[in-house]
Amino acid sequence: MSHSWSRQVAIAGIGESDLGLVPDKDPMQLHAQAAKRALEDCGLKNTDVDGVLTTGTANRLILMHSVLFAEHVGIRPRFTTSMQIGGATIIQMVISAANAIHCGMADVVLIASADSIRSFVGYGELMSIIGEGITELYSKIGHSQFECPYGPTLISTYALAATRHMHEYGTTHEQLAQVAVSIRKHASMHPDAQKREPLTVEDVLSSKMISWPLTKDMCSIISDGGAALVVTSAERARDLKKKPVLLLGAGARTMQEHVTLVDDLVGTAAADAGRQAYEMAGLGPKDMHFAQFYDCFSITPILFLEDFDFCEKGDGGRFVEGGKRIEIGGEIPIVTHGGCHAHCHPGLPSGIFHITEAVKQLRGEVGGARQVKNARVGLVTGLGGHFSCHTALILGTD
Amino acid sequence: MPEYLKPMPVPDHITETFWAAARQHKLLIQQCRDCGRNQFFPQSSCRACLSENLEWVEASGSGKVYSYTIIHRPPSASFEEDAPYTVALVELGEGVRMMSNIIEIEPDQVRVGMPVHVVFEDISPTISLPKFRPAAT
Ligand SMILES: [Zn+2]
Repeated sequence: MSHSWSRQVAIAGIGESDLGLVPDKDPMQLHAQAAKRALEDCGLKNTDVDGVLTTGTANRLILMHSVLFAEHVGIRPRFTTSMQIGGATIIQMVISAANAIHCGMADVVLIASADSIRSFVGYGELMSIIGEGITELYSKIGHSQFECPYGPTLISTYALAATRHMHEYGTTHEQLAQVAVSIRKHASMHPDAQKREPLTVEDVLSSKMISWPLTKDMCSIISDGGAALVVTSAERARDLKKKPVLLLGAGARTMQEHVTLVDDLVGTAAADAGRQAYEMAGLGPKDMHFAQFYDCFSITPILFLEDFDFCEKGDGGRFVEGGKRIEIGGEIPIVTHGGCHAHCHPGLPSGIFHITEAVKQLRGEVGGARQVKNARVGLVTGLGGHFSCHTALILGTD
Repeated sequence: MPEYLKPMPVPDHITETFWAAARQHKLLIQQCRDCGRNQFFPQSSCRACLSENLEWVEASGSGKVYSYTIIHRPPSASFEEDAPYTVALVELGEGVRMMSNIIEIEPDQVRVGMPVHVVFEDISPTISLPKFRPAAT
């Protein structure tokens, strides 16, 4: 059965809120600011929108978050819900928006996701539940009887994958560090990135050890901020202000929740999401001009280079060595905005910047040294939980 | 016994058999009577065939380190005195994996593939936590 919406649905508008350290805006203000900017970007009004998707915020105590947000920005949607599959959510939302648009259940879908996990503005009494901060909250994720008693963290899931990859394929600490170095190099060219000082492999390796073999510089930063996307039919998008960025293909696969039950820590189900996306787009890895891999920890771009078929399984570490092949101007530039490592990581919403960056690259709006020359098609990936949820999206201008 | 401040497993109606056996220093896993598959961690039904016809079988307690990490920044203050400590996924001889700590060895001496054997730590009058140490060679 195939009722593909490939090339029939587009991202028409994007907007980013204030990013990084935003001590004067609560999560709803960040959502509203991003939404206003996304609507202005494409020239639509709130009253043109009839679909609203949000992720909710870290406290997760707001029931019907998308409804609260829709009320806040004066939208009465036909299609609305909040979704939560970790760092895979944003692409899953784009897929859901396309489905709704393609089958006539919505004409214009506004996707918004933002949070305040650095400043915790507006969290009030919820701070007593969250405790020390977001890292404390995330570290409580795990099986209460069969994982948490051993003291794992969310980071340790990714460290377990890194250790296994090093064992099976000879991947080195230096190669892991290079991922962080190359991503930081891209962030250093981005005026809005939170961390812009260039790094060396030595710097990364000597930063604080968090969960061996992962050091602090191989992990996500903590930020405030968010963004919004306006999704509509390609036909309607052609009449709006900006060049439409078409959805060419998409794919998704969810495996398990707990890291204890991961089948293969070094061969992820991202490969399955990728196959679906390539097939739907009628394209392959050689056609991609960039890859905005979800980069929560430095091991994931190495796994994704393999799983999305840019190199053989096991060669990811060697592929990134020296950085040239994954940097702008190289074979497949990755995470060109600086990603979760250096641009902005407000937790769950952070994958939305991988999409706004892809859109800017494809419109040619980035400019300067960070612009991927003649970028016409690119890959964006999402990853949620403990290698739990994998999503892939291929965007293009033709 | 000094007060135990780390997360303490709270047995429920599904896992009480597991924890009662652990108190006797026996490691139980589930086996599906319908499809034959071994299962860990335990739950009310088989994750492969959805059968509720599960039985408890005693595992040999022998396994190998599938992967590990050395935690320098623990999830909460209660683990700080242990850091750096090893969190590992151990693949048991029965084919299932468990998360655990590898103890009685310096963390930097742990290796992927290393044979390990279960050892129980009595952390409260009712709870013994299965951990692993290098297997005697
Ligand atoms: Zn079964």
